[in-house]
Amino acid sequence: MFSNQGGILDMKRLAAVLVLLMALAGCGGQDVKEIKETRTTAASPEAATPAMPPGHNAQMPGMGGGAMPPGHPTISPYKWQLPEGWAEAPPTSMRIGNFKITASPEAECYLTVLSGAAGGVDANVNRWCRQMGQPELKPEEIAALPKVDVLGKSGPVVEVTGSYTGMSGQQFTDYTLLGVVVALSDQALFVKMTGPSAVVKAEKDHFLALCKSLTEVEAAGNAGAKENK
Amino acid sequence: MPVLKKISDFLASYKLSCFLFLLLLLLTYLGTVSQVENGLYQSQLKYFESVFVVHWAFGVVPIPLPGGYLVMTLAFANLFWGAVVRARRGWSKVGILVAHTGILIMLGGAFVSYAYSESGHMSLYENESSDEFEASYEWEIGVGEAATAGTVTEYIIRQSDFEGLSDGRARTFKFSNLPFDLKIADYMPNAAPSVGGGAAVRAAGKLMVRPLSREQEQNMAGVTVSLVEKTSGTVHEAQLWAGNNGPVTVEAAGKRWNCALRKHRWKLPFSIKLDRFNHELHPRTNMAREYSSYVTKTEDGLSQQVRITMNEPLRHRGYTFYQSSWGPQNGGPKERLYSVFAVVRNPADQVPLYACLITTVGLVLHFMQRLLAYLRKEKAKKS
Repeated sequence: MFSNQGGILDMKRLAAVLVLLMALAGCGGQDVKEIKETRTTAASPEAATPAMPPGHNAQMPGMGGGAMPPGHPTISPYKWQLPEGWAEAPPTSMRIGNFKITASPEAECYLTVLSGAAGGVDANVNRWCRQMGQPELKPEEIAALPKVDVLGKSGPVVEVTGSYTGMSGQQFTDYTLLGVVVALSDQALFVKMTGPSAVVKAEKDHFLALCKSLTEVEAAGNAGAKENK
Repeated sequence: MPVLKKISDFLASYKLSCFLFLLLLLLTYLGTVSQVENGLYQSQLKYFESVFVVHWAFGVVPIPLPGGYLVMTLAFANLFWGAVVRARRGWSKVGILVAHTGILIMLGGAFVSYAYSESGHMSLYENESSDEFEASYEWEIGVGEAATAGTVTEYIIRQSDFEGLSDGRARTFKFSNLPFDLKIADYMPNAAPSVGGGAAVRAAGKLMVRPLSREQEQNMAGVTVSLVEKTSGTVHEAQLWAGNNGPVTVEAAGKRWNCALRKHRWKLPFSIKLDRFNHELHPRTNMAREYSSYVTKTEDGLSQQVRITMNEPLRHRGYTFYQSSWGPQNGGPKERLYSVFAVVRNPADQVPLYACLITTVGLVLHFMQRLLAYLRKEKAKKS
């Protein structure tokens, strides 16, 4: 069978197709298989999870189904309003929200939630300063930063321009980092945007609008499961 | 029989060898270039783990080619038939025979690795332990009772059983000890909840197909499942998404049942506990200079402390634990760290070493024989 990936006939697909054909031949068109493989695991104390809650439910992909060690938030408890001209990219292992500026793909914005204080607000603001190759801020300078309300808490808005060192160690010159870190009751929320200075500065209002639009997702129950008879 | 002889001649021919090696060269080139656009996993699947492949030259001209799996199978047959079965015998050819045997062992080992190896990862925070590791790419669907205490026995449906179920195809899975059958359809290799698709779509809470990401780790599969009660025929439908960290819970036949689409997991015959994780970065970067994990391996009540670093994996009972990465990489100074190990169980992991040694011995033997023959000839000429 040729796939939509430019025509692949890989062995696993071939096996799947052969099994399907055999099952079809043996069951008069009914594709049926009996499953015998089992695994015994410890029960989950809070097993009930919504099937597909309405609204946003981006979790920790890349670690789907529990690869992420316990202690990390498992389900994004937040939803947001996507600013005009922005697009959502698939969430990645550490980012519960991932955004691109449609007209300027080199800029990116993402949302991260870490459990606990994650080092504290000041330490994270200064980490961002270091990432941009700029000197660290004194506590009084951090206290004087403009603030934005996110989820009912006030967080400093950090805007640093300089030479940005990405996660891979690669450096970009004349970049701006726009970041908000908010200490919530039992976790820290980070909204961070980086990109060429001109782009980030032009998108600052959209960035702040995204921060302000964050709200908690209501408990949704088993919204994705429905019953038919 | 002339036909059989022709086939035998063709299978043993140098022409076929040359053609296959050229094809392997071409596939290696195309597969490497393809990684830029399609990533490592998709390229490997398309060019090397395939029987046939259609390469789109310049994105518009389709060129059908035999895939890596077919080419290497033919290369094995060609080498075996031409260089071992039909090769000229005699002491002067022993080196050649040994060298070719080494290459055959290498190809055989590659097949064993492809068909029987298990590879994945294990993530542990400090002071946590685990006795299972998770596949890097392969999905599974687990179905079991939604108990909140004790242990649960889940039925496991492997990805190969449901990955073909798209484009209207569906399949019913039966379980001897469950009061329902599970019908699976609409498999999506990459899906996402319908956020941003407009209010109407969002309200429906449906999964949407997303284009495959070049990084396979970012592809989140999705599937539609229907639990069909055996006695009443009542159908409970739900969508499973790999991005959900927890299972979907459905009430059927008077009980609550969990269904989860997640990465396949393998059980280890021992447990690993992360005692401490150390890392040092290159100045002013997030690039690791050195990182290592201090772990305790426990088996049958016996514990052993081991240090795993980037170039010193832990090998035990056929499993190899490599220090792969750690996180959170953008965490603060007091952040609780976790360590990620790449875990591999490959019955043929030492085969390339032995195959290379055998091939080397064969070539040394052959060249020595040639050298001695030359020296004898020269000596005879002089005398």
